Amino acid sequence: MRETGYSRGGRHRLRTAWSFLLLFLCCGAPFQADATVRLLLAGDMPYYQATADSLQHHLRLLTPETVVSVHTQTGNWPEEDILVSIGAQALTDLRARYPDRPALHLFVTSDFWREQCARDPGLGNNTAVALDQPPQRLLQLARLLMPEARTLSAVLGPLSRKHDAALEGGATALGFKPLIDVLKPDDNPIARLSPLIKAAQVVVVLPDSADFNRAVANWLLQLSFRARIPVIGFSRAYTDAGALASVYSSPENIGQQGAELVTERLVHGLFPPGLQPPRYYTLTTNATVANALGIALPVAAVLESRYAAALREQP
Amino acid sequence: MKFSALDIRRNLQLRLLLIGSLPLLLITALLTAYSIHGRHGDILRKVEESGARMIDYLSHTVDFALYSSNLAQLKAMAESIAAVPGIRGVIFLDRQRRVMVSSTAFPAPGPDLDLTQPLGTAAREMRDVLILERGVYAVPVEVDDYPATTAGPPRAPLGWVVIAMDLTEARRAQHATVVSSIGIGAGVLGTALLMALVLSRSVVTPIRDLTNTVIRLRQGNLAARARTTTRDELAHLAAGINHLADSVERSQLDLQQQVAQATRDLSRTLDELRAKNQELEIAGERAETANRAKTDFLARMSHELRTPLTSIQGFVRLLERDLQNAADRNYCHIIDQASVSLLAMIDDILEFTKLQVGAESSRAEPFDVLECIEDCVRLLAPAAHAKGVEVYLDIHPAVPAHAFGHARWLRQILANLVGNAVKFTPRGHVLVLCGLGPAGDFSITVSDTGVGIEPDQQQQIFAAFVQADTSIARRFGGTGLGLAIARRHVELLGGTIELSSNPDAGSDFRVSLPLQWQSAATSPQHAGQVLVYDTDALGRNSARSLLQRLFDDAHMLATFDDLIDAMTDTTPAALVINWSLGEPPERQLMSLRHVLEELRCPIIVQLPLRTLHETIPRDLIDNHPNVHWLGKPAGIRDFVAALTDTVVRSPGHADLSGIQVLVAEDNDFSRLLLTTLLERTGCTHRAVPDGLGAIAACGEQKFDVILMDIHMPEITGVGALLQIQQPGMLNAATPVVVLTADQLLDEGRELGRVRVARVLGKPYDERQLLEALLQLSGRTGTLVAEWFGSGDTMPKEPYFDEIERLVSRTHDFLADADLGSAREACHQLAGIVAVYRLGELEKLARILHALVRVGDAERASAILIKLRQENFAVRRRTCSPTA
Repeated sequence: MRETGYSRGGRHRLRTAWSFLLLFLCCGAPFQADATVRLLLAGDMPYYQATADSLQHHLRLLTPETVVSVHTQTGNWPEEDILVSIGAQALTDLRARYPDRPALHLFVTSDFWREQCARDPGLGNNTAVALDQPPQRLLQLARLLMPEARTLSAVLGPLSRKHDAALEGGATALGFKPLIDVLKPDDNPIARLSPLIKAAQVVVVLPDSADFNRAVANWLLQLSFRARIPVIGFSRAYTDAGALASVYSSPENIGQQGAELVTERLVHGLFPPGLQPPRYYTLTTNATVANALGIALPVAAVLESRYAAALREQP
Repeated sequence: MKFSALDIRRNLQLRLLLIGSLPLLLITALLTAYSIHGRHGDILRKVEESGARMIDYLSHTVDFALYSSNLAQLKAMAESIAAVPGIRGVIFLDRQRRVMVSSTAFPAPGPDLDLTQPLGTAAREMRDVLILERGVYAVPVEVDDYPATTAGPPRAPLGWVVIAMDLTEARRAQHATVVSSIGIGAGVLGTALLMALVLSRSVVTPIRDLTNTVIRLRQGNLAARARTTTRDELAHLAAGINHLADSVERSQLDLQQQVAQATRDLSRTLDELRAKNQELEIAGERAETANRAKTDFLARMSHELRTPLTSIQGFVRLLERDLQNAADRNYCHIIDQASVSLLAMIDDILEFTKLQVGAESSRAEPFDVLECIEDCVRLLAPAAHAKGVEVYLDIHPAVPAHAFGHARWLRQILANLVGNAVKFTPRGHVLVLCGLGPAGDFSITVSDTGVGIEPDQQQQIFAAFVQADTSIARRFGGTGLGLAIARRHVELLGGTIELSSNPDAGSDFRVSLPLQWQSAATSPQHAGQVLVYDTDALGRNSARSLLQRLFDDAHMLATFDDLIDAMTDTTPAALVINWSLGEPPERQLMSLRHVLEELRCPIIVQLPLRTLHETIPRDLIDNHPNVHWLGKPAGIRDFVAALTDTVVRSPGHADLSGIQVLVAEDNDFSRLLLTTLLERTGCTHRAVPDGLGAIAACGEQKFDVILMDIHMPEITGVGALLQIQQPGMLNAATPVVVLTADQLLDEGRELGRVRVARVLGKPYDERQLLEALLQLSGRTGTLVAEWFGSGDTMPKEPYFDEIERLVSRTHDFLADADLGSAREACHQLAGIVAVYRLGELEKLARILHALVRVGDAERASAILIKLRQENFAVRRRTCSPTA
């Protein structure tokens, strides 16, 4: 397995930082130098901490004077402090304590954000960064690794079935003949997956609920292994379990985007409202699977470069 | 002390061995069991782990095949797994636990293997397989990088996989484990036991050595010492024991030396004592010889004295009977009395001698107490009456009439005491008072109004040959043996005798004898009133005591006027008149005649016999048959006879006619003498020459009396009596009169074995013999003078022939050194020669008898010559026509 952390997202990050700095100097806007950035973590899981660390790291590069304070519980924070939650639980805790204050919410899936906004209409004034990558990026990776493939199968679950149309359109745009099936909880996965995999040349898997992901992944990987069909997953774990490659948001990616948004808040006094798509991504490949399937993978830098280029060229 | 090898209580080594080995044995057994159990578990656990690994692997690998129902793949997997060593088979079940695929060797399901029900995750041991089961679940694959939740447990299995592990090898291994564990345990235990044995022996051996040493010391081996081979506590103990043994040995050595010294001293003392004892024995033998010689001398002298006295008495009585002159008859009477006194003295000496040598024998037998006392007192009364001394006999009515005891000794006690009282009472009275003591003993008090005894002489009055003073001996005569004999007899009877006396006031002798009474006191036999006339108070008391046994009412009268008044007032059943010595006979006779005219009831007159003969007119006796004349003091038998016999008669002669007498006498002449006497008295007799004849005769006929000689051939008189008196024999109870020439020593002891009524010494006194016959046959009366003098009618020639024959036989037996037969012949000779009292001849016969008894044959032969010469001379004198 190979991970390419510097893909397109790495260079784009440096460029964005310099642009923010220039923006700050030119505009001469008021800068909240005395504001403290309050990071509220949903727990002590390492990926939350890694996200916080990444945010602090990039923020020190952008605004070295900014004070960052990391918390696992809410407190009596001054009005001028900038509030950032990391994780779903931190979002709900922060909203419960400061429902009227703007805040940045990191490490939440788009499905969760929409669910919370439906429950809490005021949440729409806050800013969030989506954790899950857009389906187009998975289709683009499939095309990049399987340029000869003509058919593409996708299995959708209860949550991901809303991407049915986008997926079909995206696949078609990339030259695939999409074969998309939606599994119900009482379906025999093998019976539903077997014909999809037998007919496809590459399989793309979109994230769904955790139970669905687990239930389908086992049979999907085994059937694709038997059928010698590559699978493009949505997480590093998928790659590790037997997928050929995956594109996903790492804590580094999220922390970096969070630091940029905090800088914007410091400079402009506002967060961009609503759910923000992930600016950065991480690619990962499974060389063993590639070898087993006889697929020649490019080296990581080449793959990242080609992938970034393909995304840029993507309409 | 022996140690039992298996007795745990006495075997220290065994105990130590057990103490050391029992826990070891227990631990070894437990460890072995634990080891076996553990190794068995290990083996099973290994099999189970192996199976678990295999089934876990299967359950994780077959999920897809099971989920996809890929039977071919499952079958291939089952067979491949079943081919693994140690696995018997594999079976796959679907969600409904239906068998999808099974390997060929899998055990067939049955009651003990129900695959339709979950078996659980634990292994199940069944027969020779171990069954394990696992559910097959779909393995969740975590594909989220940031899972909000972890994967939960699988909700339902896809199917089941069951694997059967083959336990054959495991069983084999377990068996090998058992064998090896037991072998190891036994080896360890054996080694431990061996070590315990060695160690216990090392401990016990010194202890046992110490014990053996102590045992040897206790058994007296003081040289025993304990060995000390160690330097531990036991060594200290051994040293202590050895030290103790040293001390004991030294002490014993000292003690032995002291004992040896003491023994030597004791031995020396014993030697001295032995020497002194020998001297004493010699002195004792000498004293005994002297005593025996004295006794023989006394016996011989008594015999020698009695012989002439008998002749004197006989001739004097003949002379007295024939003399017409009263003065001459008086002289003869004096001579007779003197000879009687002399004979009494001789009898006393003889009796005392018997008592001294222990020859006196008597047998306890039933006897009539009243008769015994009355006869004795009555015999002595005439002597007292002759001196004017009254004799009273007062026997309390409570005294039973019969007792079991020694009548002869009682009679002799009374005779001595009463005789003594009569003798030493010159005037006044002698009172014999009989009664019962507090303990039922028979008490006799003999009181007199005689000379009395000085207090300082009362202590020795019971010693032999002692009288109050020499003047008494001169005044009253006597041997001084009477009281000594009486005391000896009292002692023999187990009684006591006491004396209280005042000089010139009289003496009281009180005797207490333990008698076994045979009957209670008699109750009155006659109704009505009896009048007793006696001017003497003591006489009235005596009469009252006696008549209370016969009458309901005895009325005492002290004066003649009282008598007349009583006769006027009442009609008595009987009248008793006691003729007092103090009253003039004429006056009493006149009073009697007066009474006789008034009364027709039985009248009993008690008076001295001499008065009866001298004073009472014959016509008075003949004309008043209702008057009974009784000598004073009369006995109860006399009263009974007088009251029951209404026919007045004079004192009659005894009647011996019809008495059946057996005479057993080996000497022909003696036998002839006896049968002649018996024929004269009217007895019916049967004579036999020996004991066998006596036994035969007693078996054929019942006799009234048996006259038995002791010395007889074949079987002695005692031997014959032993058979005759056996229980159930015809004459077992017949009274026996023994005739013997040797009544001192030998025969006295022999006679104790049989029942004998009388013992008469040879030559026997005819009167004594006939009186014995009279009493033993139950007859009464006085002996007839014509009965005596049988010897006079005997032919003399056979007598001397018999003497000659016995002399010759004795000579022949002595020549043949047959002392036994010679002694027998001498015995007969002594009896024969005594018949006619032939002076020198009798003396020589007795000397011969004595010499033969002591075995002096030489001197006996010399005496035999003299005896033959004397016999010839006497025969010539006696049988010559001129003699």
